[in-house]
Amino acid sequence: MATIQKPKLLLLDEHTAALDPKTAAKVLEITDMLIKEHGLTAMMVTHNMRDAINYGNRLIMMNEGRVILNISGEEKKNLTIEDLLHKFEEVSGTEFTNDTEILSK
Amino acid sequence: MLNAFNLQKTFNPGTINEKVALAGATLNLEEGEFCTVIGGNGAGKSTFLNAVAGVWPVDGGSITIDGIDVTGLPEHKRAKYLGRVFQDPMTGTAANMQIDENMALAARRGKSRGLGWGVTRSERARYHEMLKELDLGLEDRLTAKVGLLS
Amino acid sequence: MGIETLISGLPGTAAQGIIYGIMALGIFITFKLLNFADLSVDGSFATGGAVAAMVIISGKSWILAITLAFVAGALAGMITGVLHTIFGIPDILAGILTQLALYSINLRITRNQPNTPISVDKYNLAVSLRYKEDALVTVFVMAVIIIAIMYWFFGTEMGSAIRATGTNPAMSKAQGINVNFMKALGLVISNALVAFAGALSAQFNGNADVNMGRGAIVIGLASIIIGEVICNAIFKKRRNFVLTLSFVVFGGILYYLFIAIVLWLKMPANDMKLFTAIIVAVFLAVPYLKNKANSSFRKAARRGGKENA
Repeated sequence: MATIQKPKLLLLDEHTAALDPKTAAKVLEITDMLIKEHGLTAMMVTHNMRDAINYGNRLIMMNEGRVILNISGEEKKNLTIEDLLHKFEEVSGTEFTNDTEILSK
Repeated sequence: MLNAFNLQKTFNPGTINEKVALAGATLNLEEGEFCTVIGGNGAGKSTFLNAVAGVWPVDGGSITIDGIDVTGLPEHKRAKYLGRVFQDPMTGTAANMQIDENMALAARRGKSRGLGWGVTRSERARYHEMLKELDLGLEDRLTAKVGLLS
Repeated sequence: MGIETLISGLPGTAAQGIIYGIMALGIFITFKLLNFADLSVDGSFATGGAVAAMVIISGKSWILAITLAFVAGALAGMITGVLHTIFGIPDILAGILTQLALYSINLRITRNQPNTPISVDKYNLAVSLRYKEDALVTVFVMAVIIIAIMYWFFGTEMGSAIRATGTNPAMSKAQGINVNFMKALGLVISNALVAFAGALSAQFNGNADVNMGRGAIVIGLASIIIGEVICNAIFKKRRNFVLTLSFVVFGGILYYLFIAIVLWLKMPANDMKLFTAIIVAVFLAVPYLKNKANSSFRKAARRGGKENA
């Protein structure tokens, strides 16, 4: 619905978090298709690291109200979950602790 | 396309619930970029999106969308530049209204709403086609209330 | 008194019921579509009566009287809208403040007369208790026109935006709807309709009383709820907007019929508000209790018990 009228910027706030895995995957696919088809600029908040890596051509990580990691292009394509976890600890200086479970599930 | 510079936001300042939610968040997106945002709970991901959407004014920093400074625009005036999808499907729809009415509401985002029909016949036909493509069986339930879907 | 008195009074009862039904259509806009409990209507109903009475006494036509009453009601709605949207006063309180202020304003309108008589002998009125059958036809036609206009308006882009605002303000903002404007607009239309009904009621009864609006909100809610319960019972899922609106007016008729019966039974008129409160409470409670009875823990326990046995 957000794309019936082509927006300059699409904001997706964990829009698959409340869905069952199968529907979530389908919705993500449709999202990706629509963004590519219309050439939209988009921001997608997600708790799922794998989705964050698989979709899009840019990735940012936030911590304490700041953008602490900003990856794009080739670097993003080669990114792994381990890299992200590692980078989080490196940049923020704290360990992921219980967020690890949330982020990598 | 999007330039969010040094965004600041503190909720409930001066109270026991004071929470610094944005502390200088900056992001520049080029046209056509699809940016995923991750971070722990309370990292400011949703707050960042809400700041861009204009749910409330930021305490500091600036936001431009496609060269237009929207920092001072309220949410409903920014809506014409933005498409938004929420976590709970019910947040993004009017449950009491029909599917086609909901789609028509979205189609009029950022336009003035006059006394033309809320949903025109040609729109209904178009929505039917659009929903058919999604293959969720929604196209035959255009006049069902959104709240009754599951 | 025999049953004939009640029956011969039926056209008048129905006419007054439809007038309340028109008022209830106004309340329907705020209560059902905007999800806003607007208590200013107790004031704006009397405002409509007061304005109409003064215009008629000044020798102008009832058409002007009803039109100005409509405008006055719109202004009253705007006050509540401004109090709520610009000054952030919660909906119920904003309505109560307007209602309170209107009491004084209404007395000013009628030059401090708590009761302003407008006799059908002296003036040309739109409706009068004296000519029950004519009055019934007039208010019926008015109700049909109002329902038609409401059906059209709430199907337009602007009307849809009002409904969306009532259902989901957060989503509406995201779709670029100015929710404060839509709330205020809904209040304006609602109170204008209520004042319109007040103007009719004053003419019908031959006087505008400063207290005529007391309990208007409850009567309106009674009509809406009675109409809804009956409409649901008859049409179930085939209910649509026109039927819903029509049954709001029908609810008004039933409500007033009930009052007429109570009066005919010689029950004290002073107890009328108590009866009204009881009717509304019953009609609110029945659907809830029915629903609850269908999915109660006790029943679940019984079902579980049978399976175990």
